[in-house]
Order: sequence, then C-alpha cells, then structure tokens
Amino acid sequence: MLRLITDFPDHLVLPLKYALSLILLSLGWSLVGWWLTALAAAWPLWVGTLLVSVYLISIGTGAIALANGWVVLLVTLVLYEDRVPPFWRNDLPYKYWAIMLLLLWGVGTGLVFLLGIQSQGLWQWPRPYQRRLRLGLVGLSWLSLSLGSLAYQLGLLG
Amino acid sequence: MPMKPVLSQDSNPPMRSYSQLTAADYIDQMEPLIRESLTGPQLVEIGRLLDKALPKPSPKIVDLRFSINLVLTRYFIVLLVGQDRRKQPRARNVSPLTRLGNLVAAVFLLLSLNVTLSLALLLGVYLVKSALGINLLPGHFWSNIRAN
Repeated sequence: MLRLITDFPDHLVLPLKYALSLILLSLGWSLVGWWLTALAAAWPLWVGTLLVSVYLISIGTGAIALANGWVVLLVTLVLYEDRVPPFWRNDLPYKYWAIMLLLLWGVGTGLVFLLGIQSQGLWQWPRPYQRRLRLGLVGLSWLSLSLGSLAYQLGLLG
Repeated sequence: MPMKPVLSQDSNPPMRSYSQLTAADYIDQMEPLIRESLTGPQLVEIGRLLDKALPKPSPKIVDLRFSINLVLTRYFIVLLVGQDRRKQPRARNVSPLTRLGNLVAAVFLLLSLNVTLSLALLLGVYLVKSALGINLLPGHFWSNIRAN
C-alpha cells in the first residue's frame, strides 16, 4: 500500500494508487507517441500500437506475452532500419543510441506490464463500470499517445 | 476511479490447493456422527492410509505459469523443473494419433517459443554490447546486413 504521508486518510489511499498508475500510464504513452513521431514510424506501426493498447486493456495480464512481442518487434525494426531521430547528432558514438534503445525497450516493457496488470484488476468491477473504465483507459492511452506526438511536432521536449 | 470494486460474496476462507491438503483436512470433512463413532486407533489408521494415498509433489526449482489470451481462445503455458521422484512410468491411455498430434504441437510451440526468445535475447545482447562500446566487426552491423 502506497503511503507517502503518515496521516493520510485511509479512504484516499486506493484512489491515490490508481492516480499514480494513471499518471505513469499517461507519461509512458506520451513518451511512446513522442518517439514514434521522432522516428517517423510508418502508419502500420501506429495502427499496431493502438491495437495492442486495446488488446491489453480488454484482456489484462493474459495479453502481456504477445504485447511484449510487439515491443520487441518495434525495437528490432528501429535497429534493422538503422533509424535515428533527426535531432540525434551524427558525431555521437553509437553506444549512446544503443543505451537509448535499451531504455526505450525498458519503458515499453514496463508500460505493457503496468497496463496489463491495471486492466486485469478491472475484471473484479461490475460489468457496466468495467466497460466504462476500459473505454476510459483506451481514451487516456490514445490521448496521451496523440499528445506525445503533438509535443514532438510542436518542438516541445526535443 | 470513484467506485469501489465488488468483493466476493463468499465469506468462507479460500480453499487450499489440492497439493496442500493433509490427511487431517480430509478427516475433518467426515460426517461428525461417523467420526465420533471411530476409535483413536481407527482414526490414526485412516489418517495413515490417507497420508499414503495423498500426492507429495516434488518441490519445483522452476515454476513458471502464465496464460496467453488470443481473444477467441486462451492458452496456458506451464514450465516446471524439479527432481523426478516417479518410480514407475506414467500410464498414458491416448491413441497413437493423439500422441503424434501432441508431439507435433509441442515441437511447433517449443520451436516458436525458442525462436522468439532467442531473437529477443540476441537483440538485448547486441544492444548491451553496443551500449558498452564494443565493436566486433568493422562498419555498422545492421547496415551490412541490409546491404547484403
């Protein structure tokens, strides 16, 4: 149980845990959107990523294995096509790009696990709420992805 | 998330798994009147026989269980590694065709899993090697692959 402040009211502990997960999810998806745009990802990769997010949110932990396969595929494609973002300086040693890819791979895997575990928890909610919460998660993920992409196009954080 | 999740309506404590049950657990389920009619030595003997009949699973060095959900159907994957205590071969009452089907499916699944894991592992090793600044071949590996 997350408890940052000792006199924090008990009835707010659970929502705080959810809120932190949602913030992490939003940041993670924004980062994915930012990097997909920076690497000029082709539209099938965008569609695939959106489908994987829906797949993870609708199923939960059972979708983690295949979703991780998608993350591995994305990293492999970046490596195979030897793609670097336009802002990446050519005189930088390749090892920094390898470190960056490893970090992105880690973020992708973490995001898959976080979304899978959080979506799995929704199965214990009553069905009508479950559907709304899943739709909400899809909306949040897609919105964060779009905001990340927009942030790159507007030249923010780059 | 304003709503609280619905908790299970069952107030009984969760049942232990089959492998965790002891002879005493089964004796506790006996009809109370019958149980009271049994003498001490009889209960001890029943307990001894139950204990002999209950499976004693070998402790697992590796116990990996996960499921893969393909939307239309779900599969579970279990990988267990432990000391083999079985003295007699396991009785298998399956037809030769089923056995062949199982073998083909198992080989296909193992190969797919192997290829996928190997690719991910190689990718990781390559990235870690590059991150450490180690160059084994002249030029850029992936550019050379694409050029060929």
